[in-house]
Amino acid sequence: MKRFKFFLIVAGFAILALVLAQPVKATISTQQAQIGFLIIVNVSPSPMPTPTPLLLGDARQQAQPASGRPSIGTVSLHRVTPDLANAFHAENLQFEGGATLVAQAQVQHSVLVQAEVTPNPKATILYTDVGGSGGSSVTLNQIAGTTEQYPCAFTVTVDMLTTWVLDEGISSDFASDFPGKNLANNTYNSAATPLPTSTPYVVYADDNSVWSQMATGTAKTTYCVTLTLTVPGTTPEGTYSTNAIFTLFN
Amino acid sequence: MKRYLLGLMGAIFAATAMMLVLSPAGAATATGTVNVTWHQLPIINFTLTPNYYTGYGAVLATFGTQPAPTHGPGATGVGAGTVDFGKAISGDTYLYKYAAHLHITTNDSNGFLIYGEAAEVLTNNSDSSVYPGQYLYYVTSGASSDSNTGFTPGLPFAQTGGAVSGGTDVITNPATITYASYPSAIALSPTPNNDFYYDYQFKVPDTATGGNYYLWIVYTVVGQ
Repeated sequence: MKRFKFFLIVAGFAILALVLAQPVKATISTQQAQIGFLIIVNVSPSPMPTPTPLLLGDARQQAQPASGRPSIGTVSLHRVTPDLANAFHAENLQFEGGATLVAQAQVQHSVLVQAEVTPNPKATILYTDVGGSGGSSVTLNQIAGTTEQYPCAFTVTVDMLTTWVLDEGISSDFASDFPGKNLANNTYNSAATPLPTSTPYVVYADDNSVWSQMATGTAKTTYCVTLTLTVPGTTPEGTYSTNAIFTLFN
Repeated sequence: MKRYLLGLMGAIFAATAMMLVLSPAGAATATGTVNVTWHQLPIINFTLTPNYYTGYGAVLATFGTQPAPTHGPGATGVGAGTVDFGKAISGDTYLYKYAAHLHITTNDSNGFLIYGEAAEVLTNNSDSSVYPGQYLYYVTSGASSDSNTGFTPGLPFAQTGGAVSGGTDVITNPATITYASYPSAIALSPTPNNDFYYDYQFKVPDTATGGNYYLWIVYTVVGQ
């Protein structure tokens, strides 16, 4: 009986220790590294969009030659009365025939950007293949109203031999009418095969400022991230971005 | 009758002589219209002010409470010096608050376009290593406040395809770009006068070696 009581007491302490160990373990878990990079989406209009006239001053009036304005006739025709448009067109034809290009007035100023950089001592424990000639961003080009998949758009590598936890998410929506959850990921061990389904990213700004756990491990592991993006049909042509964030805890 | 004929002939000769006297340039004058049109170049006044508001400087990308901005020695004061992020660690992202204020006035009623590009690749002046790609980004800000952080989505400054010159001194020889064709505009104004405020984000390359880095950003304003 005495031995049984002793056994019960020991077992009780063991259970208590196990219970207490969990929050303690969570408490001492510390952030080891965090990396982030931009996911840039260049949205082009659908092939059959609602016709929207190109107005003078429209942002879509891009890449005009520095030495002239050959597109000015086309641009202006959309915003004038037919009579005036015809008159303008006639004048424009005279100028095209003469191939007279007129210099545009421009004013230029510049600013010098500087930084004193020190190599990151923890850069070897969490890193991505995003970078190099592409810079610190992943660029996706997509048509509004479509869903596209980008196989292994980037990789994330954890190089720690002790127990680690990797969290992931994106910082914010692309725009108010372009939710971040439209970007889904299929994250799998690069030595294995892709998962059967993709999961929408947690959006830190919308989801109570928390990340989602991506993986745990005790060895160096590289993950391939296949992205699936749905651009709403109502998203205007333009460039949108958000940050992909990966945080490593031990 | 003879007298009448002589009189008539005299009148004709007199009239012809008078026409010759009064029309020295030619016997016949064609009339018509000539359309004369021209492009009048607008007058553009453009002021670029770095470190444009108190509290300018770099902040490490952080969620939650933001640290106080700091800056390097190149940022010599409000409205002066360079956009100097100061000490940075490779792989990290920094937000530089109140980096640049563009104040533009023109007489172009259609407004103007702003082009902003990097004049060259990110360069480590200490070991001459270069980092092609996009590492500096811009985020719209306000005249005296904004809620941006290092994780606010920004847009990249592209490296120019134009011809670069200068870039050896902030005051006497700043970088300039000569364009054969303009790139995509970073902003436009439909009105003749406007102000644009920008924060910068620096995503330091993971592989960046230690040293002093620099990059020129050139803004070009063109009337519409």
